[in-house]
Amino acid sequence: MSVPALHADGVSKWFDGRRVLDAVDIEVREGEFFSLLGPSGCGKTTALRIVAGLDAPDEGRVSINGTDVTRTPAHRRPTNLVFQQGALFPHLSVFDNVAFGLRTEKTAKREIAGRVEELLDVVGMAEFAGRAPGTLSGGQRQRVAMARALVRRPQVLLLDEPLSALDLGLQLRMRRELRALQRRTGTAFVCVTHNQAEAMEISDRIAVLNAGRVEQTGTARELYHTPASRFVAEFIGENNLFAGATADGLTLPADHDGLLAVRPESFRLAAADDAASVGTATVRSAGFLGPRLRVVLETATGREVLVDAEAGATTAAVGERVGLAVAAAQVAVVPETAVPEAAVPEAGLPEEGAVREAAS
Amino acid sequence: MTGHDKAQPPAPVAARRRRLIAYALVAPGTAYLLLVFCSVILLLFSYSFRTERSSRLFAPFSTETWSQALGDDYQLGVLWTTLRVGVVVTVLTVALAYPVAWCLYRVRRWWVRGLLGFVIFSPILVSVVVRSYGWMLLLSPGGLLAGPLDGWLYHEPGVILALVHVELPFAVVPLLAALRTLPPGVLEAAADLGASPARRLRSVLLPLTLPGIVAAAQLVFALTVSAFATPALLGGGRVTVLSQSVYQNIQQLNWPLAAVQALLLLAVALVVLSVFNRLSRLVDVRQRRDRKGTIA
Ligand SMILES: Nc1ncnc2c1ncn2[C@@H]1O[C@H](COP(=O)(O)OP(=O)(O)O)[C@@H](O)[C@H]1O
Ligand SMILES: [Mg+2]
Repeated sequence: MSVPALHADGVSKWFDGRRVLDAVDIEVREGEFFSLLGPSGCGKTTALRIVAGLDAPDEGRVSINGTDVTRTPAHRRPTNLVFQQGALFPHLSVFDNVAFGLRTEKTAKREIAGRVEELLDVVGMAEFAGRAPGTLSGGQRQRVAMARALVRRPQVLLLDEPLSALDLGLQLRMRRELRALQRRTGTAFVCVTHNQAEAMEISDRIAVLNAGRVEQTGTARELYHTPASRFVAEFIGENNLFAGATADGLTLPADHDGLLAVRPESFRLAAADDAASVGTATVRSAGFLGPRLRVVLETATGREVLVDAEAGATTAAVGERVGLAVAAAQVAVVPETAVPEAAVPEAGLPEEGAVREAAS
Repeated sequence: MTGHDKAQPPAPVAARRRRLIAYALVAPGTAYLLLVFCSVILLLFSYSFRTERSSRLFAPFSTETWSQALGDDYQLGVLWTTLRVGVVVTVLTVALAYPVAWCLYRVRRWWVRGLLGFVIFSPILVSVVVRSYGWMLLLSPGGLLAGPLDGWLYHEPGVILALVHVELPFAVVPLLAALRTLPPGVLEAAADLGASPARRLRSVLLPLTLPGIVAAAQLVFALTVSAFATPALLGGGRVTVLSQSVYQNIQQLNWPLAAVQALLLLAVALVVLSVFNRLSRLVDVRQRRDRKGTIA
């Protein structure tokens, strides 16, 4: 393995006596599309800002391609950040916005024009070069912000929820464009998002962040099939969680008495007296989703179970008692990690965080 | 009749009514200002084309007073002093006020902000006359600043020093207002794109707060060239600006010359204010006509 493009090593950050990041470890490989996924307020933006040098970590170190940049100010770091709200310069034209980062490093005029035009072409904004940012749509501004960051050829490109301001159709299209852009430039991308579908679709690897902690890092498949914690099991896709192998009137094929997870599509509906079934339940509702039928069932103990069945082959009448079947391989064991529910304030460091805030 | 004139849809009734209400709200204040301003200007013009004969207005039309005011070395000197003091005070005040406004903008703790605000705006609570006497005490022999600032009293530097102090709060207000309109993240974006602190100031902060800088400069300049008490007290009769000269001429019942100088004062203010206005157009793509070119 070569040196990681980005290594955040035990990064912690306090705000107003509250721990916002808790010993975050992230390794992003060269040329990788890496996503930082987590619910709103879990510290994703803070993590990106620390990598970009806009905030200083209270603990831990950040290195880029093997160089420690923890003490390097933002304007000397080989990273660029695409801000959540774009943060384009309203007084400069699109062209000048993109050229800004080249002019700060004394690039030759002719080269600037060439590189800016090339990047505006890449993001499909060439015809808008003379426009003021205020006259652009949200999607267009986002593209300009990406061009502005990429034109500097950063070693790591940081993106803070780049698609969240766009409407759904545009979002889906931009996902593919973003991925294509990353492939084309070969730059390591670190993309923050709260949208698990987006992260799964475009990332090589994903780190799931919860209350300032990395719960799990892995490919979309790894997160989906072998979640490392209850949080990951619930946050990535949908899951039926069970407290043990014999819980809620079911007897799951697993020799483990901790937390178990079964995906809705892993359950199969069977006859109530089917010998292979792990238990019975009553159909509460059945919704047609096109290729699949979403069936909501209730076990004898009143527990709700979600099942996705193949739409063509299944008939489930509301009120009908059916059997549930699942293969042993489809039952995931979820480690009950000792992750605290929420970050607790700790003594000692808070003051320093407060002082830093005031001084900035 | 080709229907070209129908291209514009008629304004909806609601919009028309809203406009009427807006006019009604604006009318009283505007009328008041216009009436007073216009009548004073008319009066000044009519006075300025007469002459003074043994302390009385002499009626027939004459440009004698104008040629006296613009031809006489002493009178031109007064005009020149006014302009010079105005520009120097404006530049110094805005330059001093900018970092002060920046501090007020960045301070997060409410009580530090309150304290800082009080210190900066407290001069307004004290009469200009009192403050000017204060400066005289500080600068006069035996005063606290008499040593380091020897000879400033009754000379231009002393006048400028006191005027900067008087006008400083008036510059902070528009600057602070401009800073508060900064879009979030633009300074951090500039840093992220490799701009050093100096570069961020030059390429982002100053251009984006230029409307505030222009407003502050206009306000300070207008207040400075029309200031009376401070230059009168700190100048001690040796530094004469237009407003004092107007006063002296009125005292000597030379109304025509006073009118000419009042008009000169107005002209100076108008010219300088419009020059400032022009400046703000040069930097901002939103205000440029061509909407094309790049800024070096
Ligand atoms: N400058 C700040 N001062 C105080 N608290 C902050 C600051 N920035 C972020 N926080 C807090 O840190 C937490 C994480 O914020 P953030 O990193 O923006 O989350 P995310 O981007 O995942 O939504 C939030 O609870 C937020 O209120
Ligand atoms: Mg965020």
